[in-house]
Amino acid sequence: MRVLGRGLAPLRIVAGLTMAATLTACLSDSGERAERDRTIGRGRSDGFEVSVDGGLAHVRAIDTSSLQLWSQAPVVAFELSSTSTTALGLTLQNIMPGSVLDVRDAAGAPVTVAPATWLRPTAARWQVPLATGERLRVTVAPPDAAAPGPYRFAVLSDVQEALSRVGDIYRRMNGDPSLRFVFNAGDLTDDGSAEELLEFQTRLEELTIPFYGTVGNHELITPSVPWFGIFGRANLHWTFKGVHFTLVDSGSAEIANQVYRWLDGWMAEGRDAVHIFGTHIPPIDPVGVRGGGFNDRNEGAALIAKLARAKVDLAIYGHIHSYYAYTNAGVPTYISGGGGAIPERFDGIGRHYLTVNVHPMAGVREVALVRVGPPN
Amino acid sequence: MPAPRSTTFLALALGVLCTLPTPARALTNAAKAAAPAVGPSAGLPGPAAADPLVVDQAPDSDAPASPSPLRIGLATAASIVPGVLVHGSGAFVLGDKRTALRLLAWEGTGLGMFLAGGIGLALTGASRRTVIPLSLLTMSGLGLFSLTWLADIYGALSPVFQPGRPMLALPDWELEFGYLGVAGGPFDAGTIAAFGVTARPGAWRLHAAVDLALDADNQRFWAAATRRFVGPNASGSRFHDDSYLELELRGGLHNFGADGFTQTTGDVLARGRRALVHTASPLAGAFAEMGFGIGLETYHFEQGTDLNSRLLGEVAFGANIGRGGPVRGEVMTFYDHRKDGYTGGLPLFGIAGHAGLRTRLYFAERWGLLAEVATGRSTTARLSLLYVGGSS
Repeated sequence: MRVLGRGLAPLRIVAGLTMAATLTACLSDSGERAERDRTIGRGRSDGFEVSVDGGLAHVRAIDTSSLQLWSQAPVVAFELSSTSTTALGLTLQNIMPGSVLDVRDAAGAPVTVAPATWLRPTAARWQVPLATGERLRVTVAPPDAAAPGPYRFAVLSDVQEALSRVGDIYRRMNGDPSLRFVFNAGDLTDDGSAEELLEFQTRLEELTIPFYGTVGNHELITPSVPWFGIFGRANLHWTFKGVHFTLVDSGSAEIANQVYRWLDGWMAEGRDAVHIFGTHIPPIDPVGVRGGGFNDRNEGAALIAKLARAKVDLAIYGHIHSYYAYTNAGVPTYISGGGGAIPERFDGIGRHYLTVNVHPMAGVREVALVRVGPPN
Repeated sequence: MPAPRSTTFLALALGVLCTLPTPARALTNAAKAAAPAVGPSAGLPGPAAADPLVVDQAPDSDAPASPSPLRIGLATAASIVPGVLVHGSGAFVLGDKRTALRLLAWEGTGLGMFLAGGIGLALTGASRRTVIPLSLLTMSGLGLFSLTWLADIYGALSPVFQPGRPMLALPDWELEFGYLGVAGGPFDAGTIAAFGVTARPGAWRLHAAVDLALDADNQRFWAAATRRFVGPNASGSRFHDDSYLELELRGGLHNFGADGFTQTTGDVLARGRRALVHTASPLAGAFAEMGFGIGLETYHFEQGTDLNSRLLGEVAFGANIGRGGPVRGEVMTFYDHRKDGYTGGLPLFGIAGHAGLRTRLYFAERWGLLAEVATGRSTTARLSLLYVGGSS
């Protein structure tokens, strides 16, 4: 990373962090962001309406004859209600390679749809015939989505100012065909602006697998939080091949009361299954004297107690730009903030990502550190 | 390869050099204050005991004797703007250049310490290996910066009131009964009854307290033993002001039964107070405090126990209340680096503790009030009745 005016860079860092922390604390409320989550996944045009189950895809664009969705989970299901007869151009981005479109009418009978046009490994377009007054149920998923079985995924967080060189990490991931998707615990960008988020999206096109994540504190630096308009929800829950995944917005170093209500439900859903939890800021910093966890340490403990009671199999956090492996109340916990942001010095780690080997019956089999750069 | 260690040590050394005069001078003044009182109040013939509100040296400020109300108003406004950035602006408008420059110098010291620590933290990525000294440097720098600003506001307003006198002899014991309210935040603790007892044998202060939620499964107990090495205690008024140095050992247990965990803590903290009359006579009646320490905490869950460490820091600016009559006490605004209790930490991405306003006021020989409002993740308000015994 080229640093202009190196002598001023530290002051810029401190001034920027101080201002960002103050502004963001004032202007972005975790409760308000939870309310914005409720609006994700719904859209309406003159020709039809769309409603995505669980808000797991964001309606990027919609008009009388086209619909563009950004997927936030391996399996996306939604309902289309048409008010006119049209051939709907349906584009889905950030989907798993080889995903299949299944369309059913109100009676459950399959509707024939022409094969997809693949724009790249993670984006495809279909033409879906819509008749006036018709209700269609659409599911987009890889063919093996419902079949329990082991698989691997990557964990990458805290890219931030290293956005311009994240491609080397993506190329490394592309070289491992066993990876199904990237699980992200926040801080994709440096300031959360629409410009940076769209740049992140553009660079994602170099990755051959989808990227599922949540916001970090850096995504909140831009007060309007463009994340919601570009990628969708900040709190979400989905399953893939029998494994549950929950991502929660802790970008303000706290969790909104509404999100705790959702979380209770998601914890109950995943209690008897393998369940992986992710959020950006660790509830309690494993280096206690640093205190880089939640605003309220007891709130962090309450969240840990909740995860432990729900028998969560793995907790993944970002925010701290290093690698930590430990347990909280017996829950295996990993902090991985190695996407390239200013690293924690003297930790011997450097840029990295994690790979997780999971089995829906056996649980989390392995969490491995993949180094991309030299150690600090 | 960069030399981050040498940069870090240089920043640390600069910060230590900047802070050296403060504890040295505080110790000197505290030693002066510890000299036995003589005069009628001590039952011995001789000169009258020194007034704690008078600096025992040549006049140390240029402040005019009786500034006009307009000048006081302008000074107060100046202490806020541009005073928030240029500390001492209020004193300067009052015509007290010496105090103004003194506050500005301390502001610069604090700012330098804050920047050195903050830049160090940023450059090291808050490394676990250097976070303690850099955090302490940052915190103490920001504390000093805040204290000089508040001192300037106090000094600008000081001509309109008589400064309070410090309590130089403290009660032998105190009982505390009260109520604690919690608003906002993730916990619903309901109504909380607060009880406490304090004893001051000699130079020690022993304190135990309990907060009991009346309609929730939430209880907090803590106890502290504090040894005051310099400064007023229950042994009598042999000190001339309320400057002090003390070391506190404390432990606590907070049960969040409804949430399924219990926190236990053990801390050691060194704390000092400086009566600001020693900085400048217009600041008579005000005081500044700082304290730093370290602790351990455990969180007990049904599934296991987690052990962790914690860094402690306290900064406070306050003023004495009363001038020798039945009403006496103090009021202070404070920052506490802890992010637990009922208040939690301020919404600043987990880097800050909580802040608030506290007053301890005795309004009769035996009775007093303790009131505190604090804000963090939650807002808490405590109101307790005090019943005291012994000298005060």
